[in-house]
Amino acid sequence: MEPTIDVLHAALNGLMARQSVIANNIANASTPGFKASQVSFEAALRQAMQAGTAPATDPSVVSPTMAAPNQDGNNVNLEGETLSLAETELRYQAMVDAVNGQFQVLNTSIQG
Amino acid sequence: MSSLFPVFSVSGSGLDVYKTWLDAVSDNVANADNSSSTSGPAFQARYIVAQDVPGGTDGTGAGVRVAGVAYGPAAGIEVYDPSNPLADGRGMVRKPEIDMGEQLTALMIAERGYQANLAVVSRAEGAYQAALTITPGRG
Repeated sequence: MEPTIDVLHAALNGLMARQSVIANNIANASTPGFKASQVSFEAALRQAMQAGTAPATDPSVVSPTMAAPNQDGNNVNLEGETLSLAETELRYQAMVDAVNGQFQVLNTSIQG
Repeated sequence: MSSLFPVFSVSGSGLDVYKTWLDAVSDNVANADNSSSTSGPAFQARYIVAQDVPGGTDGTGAGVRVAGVAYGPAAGIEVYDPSNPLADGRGMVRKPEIDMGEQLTALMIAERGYQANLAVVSRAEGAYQAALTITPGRG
């Protein structure tokens, strides 16, 4: 498979995992003691690209955020999560466009 | 409805919990001025106890659930109201101990939480719709 498509595939999976984590943070925006999580995958992806190796299909790492908790021990920042969610959706759509673009290139080269 | 579109079940659980909370708050407000006889308990306000559900793909979390309900004090507050048909020999009735300010604040938080979860559903739908347009055939 074309390496670019592997990278895009990994990015799509990472963004999907981020979307799930944000949804979970928002679902728990008022749960006492709940600690928000975040997903990082960009660094792992960049590393694989620089090393010229195929990235892991699912490079996401889920870790807790370090935001200070409020009185009931919850540290979800509802506005921040909503913003990240909008950004994640747009980036996901951009990645889908890129995947389709790659397929179009492949198609052109197959059919001449 | 678990793994194919995971966000829907997570946000669905959020909507469920916030809806339950909204129901409890509106019930508390509706009954805040109830009178009852001093021989029985006062109306007890309901407080929803939420708990996160661990799990999900790669530990992204599986949403939230109602872990239980806490109740306000049954003793309530004794109020002097001799014209009330429920009043005892001393002219006292029992009223629920409900802090209206607290209830209305909870109402606002619960409503905002419900809306936030609803917004997540439509955002996720956008991403899923995009995913469905991936076509390896003719671009």
